[in-house]
Amino acid sequence: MNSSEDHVAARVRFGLLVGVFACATAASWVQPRLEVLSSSYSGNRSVSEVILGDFRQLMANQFMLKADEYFHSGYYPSIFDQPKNKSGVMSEEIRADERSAFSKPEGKDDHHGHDDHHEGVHEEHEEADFLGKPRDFIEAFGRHFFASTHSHLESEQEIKELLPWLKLAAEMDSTRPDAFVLTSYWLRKELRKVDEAEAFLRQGWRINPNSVEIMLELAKLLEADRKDEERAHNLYEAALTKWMRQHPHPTEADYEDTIVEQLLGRIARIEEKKGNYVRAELLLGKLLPLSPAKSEISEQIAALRAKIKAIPAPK
Amino acid sequence: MNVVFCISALVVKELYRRKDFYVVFVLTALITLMMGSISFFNDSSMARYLKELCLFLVWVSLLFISVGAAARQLPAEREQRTIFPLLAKPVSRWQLIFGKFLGCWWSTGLALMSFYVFFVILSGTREHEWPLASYLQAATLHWVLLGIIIAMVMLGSLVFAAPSSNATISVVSIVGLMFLARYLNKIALQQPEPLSSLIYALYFIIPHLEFFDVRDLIIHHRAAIPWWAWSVAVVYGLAYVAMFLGATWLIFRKKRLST
Amino acid sequence: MEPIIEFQNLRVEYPGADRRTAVKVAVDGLNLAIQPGEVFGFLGPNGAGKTSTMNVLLGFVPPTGGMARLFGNDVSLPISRQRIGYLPEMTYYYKFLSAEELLRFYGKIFGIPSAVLEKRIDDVLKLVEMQDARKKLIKTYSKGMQQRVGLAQALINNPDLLILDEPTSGLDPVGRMKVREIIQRLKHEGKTVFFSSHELGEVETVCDRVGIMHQGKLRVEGKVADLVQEHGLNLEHIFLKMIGYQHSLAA
Repeated sequence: MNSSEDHVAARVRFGLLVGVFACATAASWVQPRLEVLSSSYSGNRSVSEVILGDFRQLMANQFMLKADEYFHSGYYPSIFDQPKNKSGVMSEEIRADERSAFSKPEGKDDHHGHDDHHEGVHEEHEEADFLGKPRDFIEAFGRHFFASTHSHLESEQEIKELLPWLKLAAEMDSTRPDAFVLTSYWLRKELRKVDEAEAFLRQGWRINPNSVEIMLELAKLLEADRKDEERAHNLYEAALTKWMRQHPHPTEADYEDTIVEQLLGRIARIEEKKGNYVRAELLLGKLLPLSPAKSEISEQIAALRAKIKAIPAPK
Repeated sequence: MNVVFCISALVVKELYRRKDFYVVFVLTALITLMMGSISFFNDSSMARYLKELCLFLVWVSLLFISVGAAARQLPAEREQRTIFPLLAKPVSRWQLIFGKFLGCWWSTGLALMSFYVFFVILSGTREHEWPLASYLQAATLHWVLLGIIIAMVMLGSLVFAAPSSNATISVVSIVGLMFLARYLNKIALQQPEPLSSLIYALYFIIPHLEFFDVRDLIIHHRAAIPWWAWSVAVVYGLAYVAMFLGATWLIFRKKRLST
Repeated sequence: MEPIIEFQNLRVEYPGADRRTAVKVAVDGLNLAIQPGEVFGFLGPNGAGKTSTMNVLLGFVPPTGGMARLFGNDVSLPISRQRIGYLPEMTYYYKFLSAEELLRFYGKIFGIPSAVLEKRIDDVLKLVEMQDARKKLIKTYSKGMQQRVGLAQALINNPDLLILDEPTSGLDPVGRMKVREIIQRLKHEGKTVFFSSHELGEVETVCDRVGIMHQGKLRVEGKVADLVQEHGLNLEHIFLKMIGYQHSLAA
């Protein structure tokens, strides 16, 4: 090795030594500061919360839409196709399914419930043709290259495909009760994963203790899947009380989300089973102006009145 | 064509020696496998979200690989002045452009093949289904799209001053075309004249890159595209490639070689 | 005999940066013919029009007027460059290739069959004494080694005409000597060499004929011995006289 190479090698060794020393100094400076920083973020804030901040809510929204898109096997309107509402067609279909359960307990008449669900789907099928007729040859040709026909996930294996997006939505924004409710709905109704559904709902309830939606869904689970009518009843009642506290002067818009409609119907049914016909009639009377199934409820009220009349007066 | 193939082989060699592809491939595989190992509600048999994620990563990776490769081809030849000894050989300017294009297209094609092999194995092992015709259509359409992108970016490399500005403008334009082109006719109808006619004309002129994105069809097990439609899309894409390369040649033949 | 290089009334203009800036005339009415087997030295100060002339010859710049031919073909046709070798002044090669790969790439462009090409690569690498470093990447080469690779690529197609742009610039004395030897050898093989240089001693040693350009015009052209006899000065003084330095010379 000649002298210039020796000189270069010595400089490289010196450089490495300086580098190691600089790294050690930097590490000893950074380490305590990082500890302080991480302790300030401790508690219930996850790493993604710290990193993403409010962006998580946008992502959660996107994941919910993605789940909805999956439910329709990729057939989904863009912002240019003017969607019907913000909540998505999947939620609409579930609501149709839930409404059908007002006058009967879940699980007892699954076959009927399934048919109702499909009726809802059929109506929606006609409404959901958001694409319309192609406006030009490019649009007509382009429809070969994306999901341009309406369909749903059907089998259990297919329904499973929604879960990752719903779970991610709940992870991203745990203050969204709908992510917990929808996930629980699919888990218990289609996939028969009641334990997982209950655990997930309870997790959501812990984070959102004032969520009437989660309480309602948990009560449904207790009633239909755990067959624990007593606890379900208590939870329905607690949910109704909470809803009324949250809406001391309810407007028409407050009734549009069907929660109170469902609570009244379900409590009325349990009260009727218990023989509390007077309270059941009272609740159905409140439900009547809110429900679209007016004739059915009127018939039930009439039947309850008949039962009340049949009760012998106390001596 | 011998000259064109020589130049394209040189580009392929350059790109596989740059190691960009290996990095993004390993990253894509790692992220996908990591996401695939997650169990949702004690069930790890879900496949569609994984296919979606994998395809998204593949698309993003290939977009950046192709834009990056195409954006630097002609500027690098001019900046490093390697163009002088090359054009002092019996090489015409259109051969140089076409050779550079083919080189980029082939190398991104090789990258695409590796990605899709990984994707097919991943989805096949999860779903136990092998809709190979759909996968073949998706991969070929994706490759044609990369051809359009490369030709477009090469044209941009002669129009914009720096490769970085060209790459940025190209990526923004491509993403814009992917998401908006399909809806321009609807947007046009909502506008007053003459803006409406202008937007509608634009709708017919711009390349409809969305024809080449059939990810939703393979994620959601939709039927394969009719082969006639696939063929028309391929021809449509190649026509745009030819147009962009033609425009590149028209500019390049008058362009000073040194920067 | 048909000249290998022929310029007829060649004019090269560069447009100004904007409309107000005047057009720059780089070459103005150049008439020159170089015969097969000649070694022609193309001289001139910086900005004289040498590089512009070479750029036209190699098809890099289209002539504004007049005509330039190589082997009887218009220089705009790629075929006219089939039998030439070009060595640029600076080293401009793909740094991700080795010398061997670079030569194979250029050889394939010329359409040389593989077996012939491999033999040719060995020969030229031996000629420029680069056999030991043939598999190393060009980015690891010194400037002198890169210049030798440049010479090897200029010779890969066994050209009939070699165009050299300042072939010895940046080389050490040994490197210069080697380049001169190679030019002499090519001359003995009957090749035509057209080269530009500032090294007047070198030109005097190797050239049969020289031309001196100044301000876009060919001021003088002829055999070195004839010019020396005609002007009664050595080549350096003739050069200085042609570019307008005669007063200072007299002083």
